[in-house]
Amino acid sequence: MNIENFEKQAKALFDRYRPEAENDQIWQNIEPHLKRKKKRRPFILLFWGLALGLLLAVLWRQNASQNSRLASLPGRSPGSPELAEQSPKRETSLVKEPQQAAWASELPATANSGSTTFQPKGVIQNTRTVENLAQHQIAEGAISENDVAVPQSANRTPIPALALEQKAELNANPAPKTELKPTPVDTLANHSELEKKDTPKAKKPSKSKTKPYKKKRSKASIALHGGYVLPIKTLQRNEKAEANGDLLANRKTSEKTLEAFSASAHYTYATKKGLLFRGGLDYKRLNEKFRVSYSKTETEIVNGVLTQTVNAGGQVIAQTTGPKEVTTTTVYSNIAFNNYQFLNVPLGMGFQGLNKKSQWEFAGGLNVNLLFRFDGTLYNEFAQPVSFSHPGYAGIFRKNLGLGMWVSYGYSRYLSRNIRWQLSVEAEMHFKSVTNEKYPLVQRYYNFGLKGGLVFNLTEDKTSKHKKRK
Amino acid sequence: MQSDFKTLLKGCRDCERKAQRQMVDLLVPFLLSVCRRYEGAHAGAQDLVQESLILIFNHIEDCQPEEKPFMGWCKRIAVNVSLDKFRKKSIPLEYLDHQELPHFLPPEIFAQLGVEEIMHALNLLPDNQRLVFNLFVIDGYTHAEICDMLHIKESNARTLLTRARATLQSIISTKEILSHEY
Repeated sequence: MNIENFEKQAKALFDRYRPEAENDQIWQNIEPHLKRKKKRRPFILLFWGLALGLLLAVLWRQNASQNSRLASLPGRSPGSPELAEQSPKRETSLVKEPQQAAWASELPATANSGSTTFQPKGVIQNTRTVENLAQHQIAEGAISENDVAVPQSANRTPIPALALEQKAELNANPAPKTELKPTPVDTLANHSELEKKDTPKAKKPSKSKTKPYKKKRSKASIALHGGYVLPIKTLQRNEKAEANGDLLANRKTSEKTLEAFSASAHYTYATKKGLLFRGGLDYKRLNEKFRVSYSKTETEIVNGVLTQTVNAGGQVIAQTTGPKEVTTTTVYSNIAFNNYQFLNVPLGMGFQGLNKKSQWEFAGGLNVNLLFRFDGTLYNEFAQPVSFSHPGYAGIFRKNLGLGMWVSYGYSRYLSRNIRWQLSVEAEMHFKSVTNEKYPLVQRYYNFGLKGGLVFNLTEDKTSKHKKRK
Repeated sequence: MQSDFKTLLKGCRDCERKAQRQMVDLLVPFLLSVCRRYEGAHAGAQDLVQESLILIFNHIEDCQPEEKPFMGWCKRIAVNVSLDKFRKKSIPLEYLDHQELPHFLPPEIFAQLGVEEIMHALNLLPDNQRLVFNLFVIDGYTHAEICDMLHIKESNARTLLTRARATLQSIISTKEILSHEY
């Protein structure tokens, strides 16, 4: 037997060679270092479901808001002329009952039928301007469709100047934009060299000194986020204060548009087990637009035509004049643009899961409000703007909302070794109302946000090493 | 049998502990036979097996679902893990001299050798010679592949193999193996 035969014999022997080993001990040593069972799919589905639901809710809300706003305008009534004016109007009628604004659904219904309405000789305009308050104020005439002569410009576009002014006001008061600036960071997990070696054929071995089986979980990261927030506002009667039902009714029926934007930065530290701790800073701005209306009815005695007699040709042949009772209904309608700014410190903990190219995080905790600020106009129950220095309304908005709570779920994928893009959905609320105990309304916001941003990994976990057999 | 293996492999891919435990029973003897050729000490070989198993289970989704390619993939991982260990030891793999060594032995000596004897003889080889001999003769890698794996020139690989063969014959001829008690 020469050396070649010896080698063949050795190869055959080793191919059949199966030495015994302590399998239980080996299993005990390697089991802590193996991946856990995959449970990522429910989270991914949950995440995309929430994101889709939020998107649909935003679209539906915007659509509903626009429809309701347009429908509430008098010029949008079928067959009625365009009546949008920028000052309150007063009209007079012969009837004793107060007339109703065509668009003011919250006011009691009136019966104009059967009454003899005379053609107004001129609309008495009652312009009211509050210049010292940063508000946009529009009042609309409370004239029913049948009582008003069609002006020459009746066939113009049904979108009134009101809508244009609303848009202009929104443009003048835009939401803050956030810039996401990348931050230089350290390294993150690399993937194993063996991922590419799926065939038994030889390839050039990797020069990486890091063992591929090690968990490459990032220990610390900084995330910069920005996004849209859908706020849900709740208004309740404040039992502790002297509440006025009109204000609550007006506010509840007049809320039209609410939108918010948020920018946040947070620091996350994760343990080897996937437990994460988070702290950061979150700025949120809510833009609110709503209409407040108030109707005032006055009765006065004026001299005018009482009866008329006309012939077959339509000519007036006799008439009687004298004092008569005229009821005047004035509807004041104001569109208010307010904004609320929140500066919060979210603190919390949660869990983090690693996949090959992606990562998910689920966290929740407390929200500490550092600063709350209100900018806008305050209205009383008569839809009249009031000053903050008014004795009854001083300090009505809190300067600090105290504690709240938040919960978020984020899904991220690697853009590069150290940077991930991340999409997250989150919900948050504050325990306290934004108004104090003296205000007749308890006003709270529940915010649901869809955010996007970048995550910069700062360090990676290099301590995870499998337990060596003793 | 093949379907059983696929079921087992699927369980391992889903990170089911029970399937992984069964796969350990299946793989450990095979991997240990590979690692023992590279690492003579049983304890050291068992460490290599552990590292290999962790790599295998954590990257099992990358392998092919058939048994034969899977075993080859596992063997490749075990070989790589063993080579990694030798790289850390900084074993000199270069041989500059090309000495011709006599290689002849009485045939009856070869016929008497069993696995343990051959294993012992291999363990008596210098580390660099044992690496090349294992890779070329037992594991079937070509010289080009060995050069890539060990980062040496092909001439050096051939020299190491020649020297390993000669040294092995020398070891066996001295009957050191046969006199060894196991």
